[in-house]
Formats: sequence, structure tokens, C-alpha cells
Amino acid sequence: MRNSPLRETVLHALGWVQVWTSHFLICLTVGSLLLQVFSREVGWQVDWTEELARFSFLVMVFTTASFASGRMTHLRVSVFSDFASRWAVSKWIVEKLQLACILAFDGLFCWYATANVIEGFRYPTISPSLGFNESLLFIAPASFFAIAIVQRLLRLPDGADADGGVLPT
Amino acid sequence: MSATQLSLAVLFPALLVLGVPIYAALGLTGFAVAYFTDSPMLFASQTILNGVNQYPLLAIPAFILAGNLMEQGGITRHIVGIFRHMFGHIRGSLGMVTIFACMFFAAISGSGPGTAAAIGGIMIPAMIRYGYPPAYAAAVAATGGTLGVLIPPSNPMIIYGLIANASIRDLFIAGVMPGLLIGLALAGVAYGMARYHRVETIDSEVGGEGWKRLAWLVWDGKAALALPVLVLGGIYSGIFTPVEASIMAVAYAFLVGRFAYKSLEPAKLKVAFERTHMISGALMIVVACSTLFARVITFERIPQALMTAFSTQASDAVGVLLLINLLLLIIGCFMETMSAIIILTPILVPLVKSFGIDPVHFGMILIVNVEIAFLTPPLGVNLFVAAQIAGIKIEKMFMAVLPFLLALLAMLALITLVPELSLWLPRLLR
Repeated sequence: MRNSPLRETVLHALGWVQVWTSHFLICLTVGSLLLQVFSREVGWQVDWTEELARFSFLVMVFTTASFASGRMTHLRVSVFSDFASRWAVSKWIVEKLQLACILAFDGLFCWYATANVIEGFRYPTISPSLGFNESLLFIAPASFFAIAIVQRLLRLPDGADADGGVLPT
Repeated sequence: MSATQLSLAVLFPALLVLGVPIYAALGLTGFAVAYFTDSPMLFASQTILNGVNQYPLLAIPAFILAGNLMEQGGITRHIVGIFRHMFGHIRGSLGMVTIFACMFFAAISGSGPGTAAAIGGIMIPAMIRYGYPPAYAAAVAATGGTLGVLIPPSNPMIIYGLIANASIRDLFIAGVMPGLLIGLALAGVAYGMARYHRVETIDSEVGGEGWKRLAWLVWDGKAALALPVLVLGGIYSGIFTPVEASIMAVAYAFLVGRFAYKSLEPAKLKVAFERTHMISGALMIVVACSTLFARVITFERIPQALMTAFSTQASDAVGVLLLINLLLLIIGCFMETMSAIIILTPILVPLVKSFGIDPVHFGMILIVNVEIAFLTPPLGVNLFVAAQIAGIKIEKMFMAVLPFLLALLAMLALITLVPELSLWLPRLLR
């Protein structure tokens, strides 16, 4: 399993989806806000730009979170766990507990985000400018947290089951 | 003790100590409380999504992207070149140059470690080459980098403003005076410490002496120098909102790096984008999950309980602020700063408001504490960044960074005791 070409292909494809979706969304956010500034200066009535920027940003939060998770870089308090990881046994326990907690949250959020999508079809919340069903935004956390879960599970044979470290913000 | 209180007092700290990513610790605690209080779990996930459904938050990934584009596009190199030429002829001045370059870079970037990495990447090797002790070189860059969060624009200020319901524009204006004061104090300490280390070298890499050369450097770096004018001038004059200013910064940094300096090649663009995704992805999911946590805190009336506890310990605003400073300094040693702001702001702001403290003034105090936290071990992020660039062990930096920490603590006391330092400019420009 560790060196399986299928596993490498799947991991590569998932990483590709994460990074290129994030690229597209940040360009869409920046582009629509630039259009907003420009259209205001020339007196055009473009009232959907802010909504489009907000929605693309919302989706981007979850695609980039999934991307950061795929690169094992998340904010965490590492002082105590690093200390505990000096010994092989405690390191193993800490890493497994961390992995269990990450999978538990990712799984819960993915599950309830999917439930919100289903709920959204029954009781849609329509945005004023674009006429978009805002509940569909939950597709982003549902799908990209599912990707993050699959990535973590596929990387288990490598022993890379805990986060890499503190990321400077 | 109820199940909710148990989750907050035991589960959340346990998850943090275990080193679980903060977003998961916040989220799991929120889900646990929702489960124990029979609240619908659907609402819990809606709260997480709605936590980032706030328009001003768009500025954060945009400022992060602008900073990365500037670094990859060579804008940083031009800024450093100008300051080296201005002060490089003074003996032992490279530390001072580093602080000034950080101050300028801070007016474009909103990140502390980002500033330390961008300026330190150029100045630390230069200082070491000129005979400055590596620990001193790393300490100066680490300290200068902290100005990234105080001198506007500032990512922590945006987060604080949203949570505290304070005007982000006012916070940005309020950061100018303390930022300049702290920058000058740190430059003084950097120069004094260089003289103490008997560094007598002159920077000879900046080319010929004189105003002509400086004028040429300024002309060559005009595109880089215009960026803070565009960002801050746009916000203060009311032409742009902070979000629009961040977007303009992205567009400008891209155009300058790609077409004016011609150094932003596709490969560097890719690096800038991927770094932005990693940093903003890790950060924004914490913001999202903290909304759920903040709701739990409010539901449990924790700010009110804290208010009662503080009222018994301190009778006036100054006493409360001193206690809070002490608390923040301790927490800053162990917790990543942005996460500390996200978790503590909903608890502390109602408390300081009840003592009649202006939230903008408190915002400045919080941000200076964040600055100090970037330098306090074991989790001083700027120490890691600078030590890595200097190629030294982090332990070697502890003594070197101490004079700068003392200066920052003195400035924190000044900013705490003199609210006008923070509030004068916002009132003037209102």
C-alpha cells in the first residue's frame, strides 16, 4: 500500500484539486472586488460583485483549510505535545490521539455540512443579488473536508498522521 | 459542574495541550457542548460557516497574498536598498536599518513573521557578513518583524475589530503613533546594542555615497515606495475600505513585480499563491470554528463571571489593564498569537468595556502584547523564523532578544497608561 501507484495518483489528484480550486477562488475574489472598485469609479451599477466575492471567499476558506491540512500545517499549541513526543511510546499515543481528534472533527463537520446541503434544497436561502441558494455553500466544507479525511487516511502507512507544526501567521 | 462547563474547563484545554490543531479543538468543544445541551448539530455547523461570512475578513487573505507577491516580486529588496543607503554609512547601523526597513514593510504587510522573514532574509546574512554577532542579527530581525502587526495594515487588528465590534479603520489609524514610537525605540536599542558589541563596520554594498545615489535608489524603488501610500492613503482618505485597499495592494504588487521589476515569474507566482493558501487556510478555519466557541462562551456567561472575578482584584481601569497584560504575557508564551486574540477577545472586551476602557485603546494594548508574544519562548514564532535564517539555535537568541523585549515592555506600559497615544489620531481624523 505504501508505494502503491494508485495511492500516489489519488493523493496527487486530490492535492491538485485543492490547490487549483484555491487558485481559482482567490482570483475570483480579487477580480470581483477589483471590478467593484472600478465600476464604482466609473459609475456602473454592478451590485453583484460584493456577493460574488463573499461567496468565493467563503468557499475558499474551506478549500484552503483542506489544502493546509493536506500539507500538514495547522495552527496548534505544540509546546507540551512536542515535549511528550521525546519518548517513542508517548509520541505514538500523542500522534494517534491527535489523528483521532482531527478525524472526529473533520468527520462531524463534513457530515453536518452535508446535512445542511440537503436541508438547503428543502428550505433554500436565496441571496438578494445573484439569486443563489446560499445553503449550497455547505458543499465546500462537505467535499473538501472529505478530501482532507481521505488524504490523512491514505497517508497513514507513511506514519504522517499528525500535523507538521506551527505555521507563522 | 455541568457537562458544558466540563467541556470548557477540561476538554478544550486538554485538546490544546495534546497539540490538536486549534480549529479541531475549538470545533470539537463546540460540537460537544451542542450535544450536551441538546442543541441541533446543524446549527453548530451553520455557526462555523457563518463565522467567516463577514465581508471585512476578505482583507486577510488579500493582505497575505499582497505580502507574498511583494516578497517574491523583489519589492522588499528595493525597500531595504533605500534604507541601507540612507543609514549604511553610520558605523554599526545595520541593526537600525533592519528596524526601519521592517517599519516600512509593516506599512504594506499585515503579518509579524512575514515581515521578519522578508526583511530578515536580506538583512540577517548582510549583518553577519559585516561582523555583527549572528544572535544579534537574528534578534533584530525577529524584533523588527513584530512591527508588522502594529503598523497598519494589520491582520490581527482586522480580526480584533470584527470580534470586538470596533472600527477597523479607527484601529488602523490608532496603530500609527504606537507603531512609530515602538519602531524608533527599537531602532535606538538596535544601534545601542551594536555599539555595545563594538561593531564598527560600515555598509559598503550600497554603492557610492551621496544624495545622487540615494535619489537614484528612490527613483528606482518608486513603485515599491508608492505601495503604502496607496494602501494607507486610500484607507485614511476614505477612497477605499480596508477590504478594497487589500485588493488594490494585491493588484499593485502583482503589476509592479510582474511588469515594473520583471521578477515575478510564473514559478514565483505559484510559490506566492501556495504560501497564501497555506497561511490563510490555517488561519481562517480557526476564525470559523472560534465563532462556535465564542457562542458557547457567551451562552455560559463566562465574560460576566470574569468581570466579577477581576472586579474583586482590581478597582480601576489601570489595575484591570495591568492584570490583563500579565495574563496576556503568560498566555503569549504558550499560544499562537492570532488564536489567542480569537479566543480571548470575546472574553476580555466586555470586561474592559465595563471598566470604561475604549475598545480601540484596548485593541492597541492587545496588539502590543501580540508583538511581545512573537518573541517570548517557547512559542515565539519570530524567534523561529529569524533563527532559521541566521542558521543558529534558538537558545542563542534568548539573551540577544532581551534588551528588545525590555524596550517593548516599557512601550507596553506607556501605551497602557497613556490612552491618548492610541486615541488621539483616530479622534482627530474622525
